[in-house]
This record gives sequence, C-alpha cells and structure tokens, in this order.
Amino acid sequence: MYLSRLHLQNWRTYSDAVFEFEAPSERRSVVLVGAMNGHGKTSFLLSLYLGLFGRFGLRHCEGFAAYDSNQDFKTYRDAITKFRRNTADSSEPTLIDVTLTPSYRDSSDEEEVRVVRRWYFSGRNEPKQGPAFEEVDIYVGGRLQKQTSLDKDPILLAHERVERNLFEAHVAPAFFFDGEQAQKLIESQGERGLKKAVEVMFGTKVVEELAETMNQYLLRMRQTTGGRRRCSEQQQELDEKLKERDLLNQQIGKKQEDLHKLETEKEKREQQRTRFQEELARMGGMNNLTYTQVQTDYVRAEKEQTDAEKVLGNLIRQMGLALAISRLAPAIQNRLRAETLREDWESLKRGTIDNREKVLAAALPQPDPILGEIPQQTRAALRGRFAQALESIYNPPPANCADTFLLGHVKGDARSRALHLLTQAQSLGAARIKTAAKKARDAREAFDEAKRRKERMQDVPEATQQIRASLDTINGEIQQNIHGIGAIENELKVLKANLHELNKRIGEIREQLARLGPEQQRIAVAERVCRALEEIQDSLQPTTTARLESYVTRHFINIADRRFRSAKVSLAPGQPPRLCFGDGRPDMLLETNSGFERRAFGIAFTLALAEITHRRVPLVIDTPLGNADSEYRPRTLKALADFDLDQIIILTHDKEVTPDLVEHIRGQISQKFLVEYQESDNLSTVQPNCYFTR
Amino acid sequence: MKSPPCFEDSESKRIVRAICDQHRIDIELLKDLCEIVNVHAGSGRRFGLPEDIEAVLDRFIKNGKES
Repeated sequence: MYLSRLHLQNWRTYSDAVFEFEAPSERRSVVLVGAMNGHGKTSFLLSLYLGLFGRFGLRHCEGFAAYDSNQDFKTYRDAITKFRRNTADSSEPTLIDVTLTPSYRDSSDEEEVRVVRRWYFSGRNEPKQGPAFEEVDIYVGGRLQKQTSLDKDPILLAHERVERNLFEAHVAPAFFFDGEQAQKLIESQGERGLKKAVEVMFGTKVVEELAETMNQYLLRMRQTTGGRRRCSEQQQELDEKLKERDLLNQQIGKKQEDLHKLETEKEKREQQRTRFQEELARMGGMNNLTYTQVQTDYVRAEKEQTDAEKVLGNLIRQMGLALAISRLAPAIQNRLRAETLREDWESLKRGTIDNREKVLAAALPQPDPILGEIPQQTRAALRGRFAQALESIYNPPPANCADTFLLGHVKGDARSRALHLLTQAQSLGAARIKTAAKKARDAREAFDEAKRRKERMQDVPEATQQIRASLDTINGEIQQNIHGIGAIENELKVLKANLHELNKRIGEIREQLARLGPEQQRIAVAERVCRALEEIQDSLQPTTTARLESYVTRHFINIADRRFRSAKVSLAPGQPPRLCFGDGRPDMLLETNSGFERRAFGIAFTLALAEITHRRVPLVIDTPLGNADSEYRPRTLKALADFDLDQIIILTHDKEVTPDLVEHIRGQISQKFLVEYQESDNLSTVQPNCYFTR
Repeated sequence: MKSPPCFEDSESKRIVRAICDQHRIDIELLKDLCEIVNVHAGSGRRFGLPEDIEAVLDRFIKNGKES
C-alpha cells in the first residue's frame, strides 16, 4: 500500500496543495520531499496523523503527548484552529484528503482507502460548535461508507472504520514519524507502546477482541438457554475423555514407535550376527567352528592319513612277491609261450627225423621202378639230398619261438597252470593296491585340508575370538530385544483395550450431547473457542517477542555504529528496551544511548514491525538522519532504501539528505518534490520533480 | 477482509493450528469469527452479532468439523 495522494487546504502554510505520488515500482520505493526548516515538512507529517485519525492522532503531534482524546475536546479544537492557515477565508473549511492505494504487491482483496476530513469555522475563524465542527468521509474501494448506526458519534464511527481498514491510531508513529519521534517512541511509550504496536499490527489485538466477544456470547447463551450446567458437565467430561484419548493415542503412538525401533534394532542385529557368522565361517571353513574344533579335526586327519599310509605300506609289503611277479609276469608269460612254441616245434622236427629212414626208403626204393638200377654213389647222393630237404622243413624255427629252454622244468600242463596263476595274481594285486592307494590319497588330501584350516586358524585366532565375543554380545542384545518387544506388545494390548473403552464412552457422551439441542452444541463449541483463544494469546506473546527482537537486532546493527555489531536487542516484558552483548560487556539501556542510536533503534523497530506483521504500510519519516555524522548518513539512508516496502517518503532539509548523498540511492528513488515557502504570502507551494541543487 | 497476520504468518500459524487441534476447532472457524468481530466493529453496530456468531458455529457443527 502506498500514499497515492495528499490534498491539503488551509493547512498551516499550505493553501491548496496536492502531492500526487506515483505507484511504486519494484526497485524504486523512495520519495524525497525536500523542504527547508519551517517550509512544510512537519505540516505534511501532522496532516497524516490528524487527517487520518482526527483527535485520536493529536497526541502524536509535538506538545500533545498527554492529550486525552476521549475527554478533552477543547484542546483538539484549539489545536486544529492553531494548525489552520491563518489567512484562510472563514467560509472555507480546513481540509485534509488522504488516499492510500494498494500496490501491485498487495493482495487482490486490499482496497483503496480515502479519508476526507474537514473542519469548519465560523465567521471570525472560530471553530464551529458541536458536530458541525468536523466532518469525515471515508471511501473504501471508491465507495462512500454510509453511517449505519444513528445512535453513534459519526466521528467515532468513522475513526473505527479507518482503524479497521488501515491500522490503529496509536501505532501511527511506527510508520509516520519524525526522526526525533523515533527516539520518543522509545522514551514516551517505552515497552508498553512497542508491545501495543506489535499486538495491533500482528492481529493479536483482534484475537483479544474475539475472546471478549465470545465470552459475552457465551454468557448470553447460558442465560437464555439455562442449560449451562448440564451442557458444561457433559462437555467437561467429553473434553477430559478426549484429552485422555489424545494422551492414550500419544502413548500408543510412542509405544508403536518404540516397538518399531526395537524390531528394527533386532533386525539389524540379526543381520550383523549373520555377517559375523559368515566371517567366522570364512576364517574357519565351517559355521560356528571354534579353534579347538579345527585343532581336533587336524589331529584326526593327520592320524587318518598315517593309518591309510600304513595300510598301503603293509599291503605293498604283503603283496611284494605278487607285485614282483606281477611286474615280471608279462615277460615270464611271453617266455613260457615261446618255450611252448619251441617244444611243439622240436617235437614235430624230432618226429620227422625219427621217421627219415622210412621216408627215404619210400622215396628211393631198391630197386627203383622209376629210376631203375642206379649206382650206389648216386643213390647215396640222392639220399643226402632228401635228408637235407626234410630238415629244411623245420628250419628256421617259427617266429616267437624260444631259442632255448630257460624254464625247461615247466612243461605241458604245468606251464598252462603257471600261465593262469600269473594272470590271476597280476589282476588281484593291482586292485587291492589301487584301493589302498586311493584311501591313502584321500586321507592325505583330508589331512592337507585340515592342515590348511589349522594354519588359517593359527593366523586369526585373535580375530576369531573377538568375533565370538561380539557374537555373544549380539546374541544377548537380540534376547533383550525379544524381551522388550514382548513387553511392549503386552503394554500395547492393554492401551488399545483402554482406548476401546474410552472411545465407547466418548461415543455415549456425544450421543447425549447431540440430544441436548443446537444451543448446547453451540455453547460447547464456543467454550472450546474461548479456551483456545486464551491459549493462543498466551502462546503468541513470547514467540512474537523473540522474533521481533531478532528482526530489530538485524536492522539495528545494520544502521548503528560498529561497536554495536555484537549487540542483541532485548524487548523483555516489563522492561525498557536494552542492548545485550555477548562479549562480556554489561547490558545497556537504549535510552542511555546517544540520540542517533535511539533514532536508529526507532527506525529498526519500525522496519521490524513492518516485517513481522507483513503490513505494507508506507513509511513517512521526517528528517530520518537528523544530526548523524557523515558515516551514519549513507548507511542509514541505504538501509531505508533497501528495505522491502512499497513506499518510503523521506522529508528532509538541504543539509540532511544532500544532493551528494542522494547519489547513494539514485537507482531507488521514484519521485522528488521540493516544497518552497514564500514568506511574503505565508505560503508553501509544491514543486513536483524538483529537489535541492548542489 | 484479510485474516489477522498472526493467523497467516507461518510460525505463529503453526502455534495457532496446534492449539486449535488440541481444542478440536478449526483455524478457519477462528478466522470467520475474527471477520465477524471486524465487520461489526467497523460498522459500529452490535445487533446481529450473536446471530452471525451462531451462523458460523452452526456451519462448523454442520460440516462435521467437530471431532
């Protein structure tokens, strides 16, 4: 929201002046109104207090701090007479016409508010008497607000409307103020004033009013329905039961959380246990294998290997002859077969030789019918040739035939038996030795494995023991988990049974309450609303104060001197604002600080208030920098210009926000005005788009 | 009519909502009642205030928001 128009007629040195303010843009929120001292800055500021709030704004004007707006009408009339332009025509009223317009950043339900206030005077420029003195028209969204209550003071009614649509009169100095007033905000109103401003702006005041309204409503309802006691007792029991149920649900929720936690723990531990067991198995080669077991296995395997080798050795020894024979068996068998062949050959040869004479006699008979009579010599030569031919049948001996008889003592059937026995001994011995050798090999392999395991265990006995110890611990913990889970499950059973009973009773009470009728139901809800409102009021106060402290601190250290960088502003209830330091320095009351620090605090408070209440009210500050030195000035001006507000109107003289200083915020200035005063006419005139020159 | 800033600000809204839950009422019910108070205070009339409050309470009861 921004101040879009201010029209002043017969107001101090302004005869008929209009300030038309442009809608602010995102980056340009600063409006500079330059006026030398006495030329119209304060008149501008006072016009906002009195134009918007009439007599309720008078106490914010200098010299009227003690003014009581409800009792003292004379002072108000005198003040307005004093503020009226002294050369005004008595037929013309003094007029202040203020328009506040929602900016592009306000929500769509915000409406423009225009307050037109006129004060009327008689022929001698005396204020008119009674209601004729003052008139107020209020326009909301361009619509004139009509008076709906004839029995109420129209000025009071208008005032309530202004406060509802803008903000309450007593917080006006938080937004429209003289730089010095920022100090006075602390000095005159102190902690109470600040608190009040926050309550109003943050809406807790409305909550307070609602609480009061609801209490009145309850009182009225109880009187008219007469059912207070009945309703209240049942409502009270219902409330108690519901609280009990909430508590029970919380307990159940907590137990279920505990149960879930324990189950998760148990699951994790079981997973861990599996990991340990696997690790142990990797080290020992078996699940749950102990070092002792590995040692035993080693000894056993060693013995088994020794035994198997012994068996094999004995067998080899026992089978030595057979083994030896079996090794020579092929050669002996071949020899025996060759000698058999020779024996057969010799037998045939001998038979032929033994029958040679008969063969020769048959081949060369005497006389020979074929050859006839042949000489003796020829006959002898023929006989010799036949004899040679006979012998050549058996020469050379057949292949594989032995040259001679080495085993001449083994003949015939004996040789055949020997050949059979040799074959049998060869096959049986090999099979037994093969079996024994396999057993010995298996035993050796088993022993080698046991030996490897033993060696591995010898390398990791310590780690194994640690894992065993961890396993024992985890097993214990898992047992505890199991017991815990069991206990919680039992408790949950009991709690759920209680909840069931409680729900049953709540249902019964609700049925009873439902039968009581709509009045009692309203009373029941209204009672709860009242209790909630009380709690809300109690709860919001500390959190709001804490946040306000944090915001004020941030803005204050941004503006104030470096020595306050570590300060924290304290707005503790019942105490004046103070600065606390975390570096051992004693706390410092703000009112004991220099004028500029008090001014800086006032500005910081205003900014914090706007921030916490999310109210986009325009800021109007008369001489914000005052007598600040050259270091403070740009810093403060920049802090104001940087603050996220729609409009900041700075009223200043030529020595304060100087043209040089303006350069620091050039990009953030939306408009400039120069108010010039002509002493001869006692007249202030407004020059838009003008400012002091260098 | 805008609801009070303390019902809109995230931190204070959290507190208000928790208290409302505890008392089994709705933050919207409080906002509606605040609006009634504002409207009546702004208009300067008090008559009709109980009826308006009752209408809001009845709406709350009818909507079954009462737990």
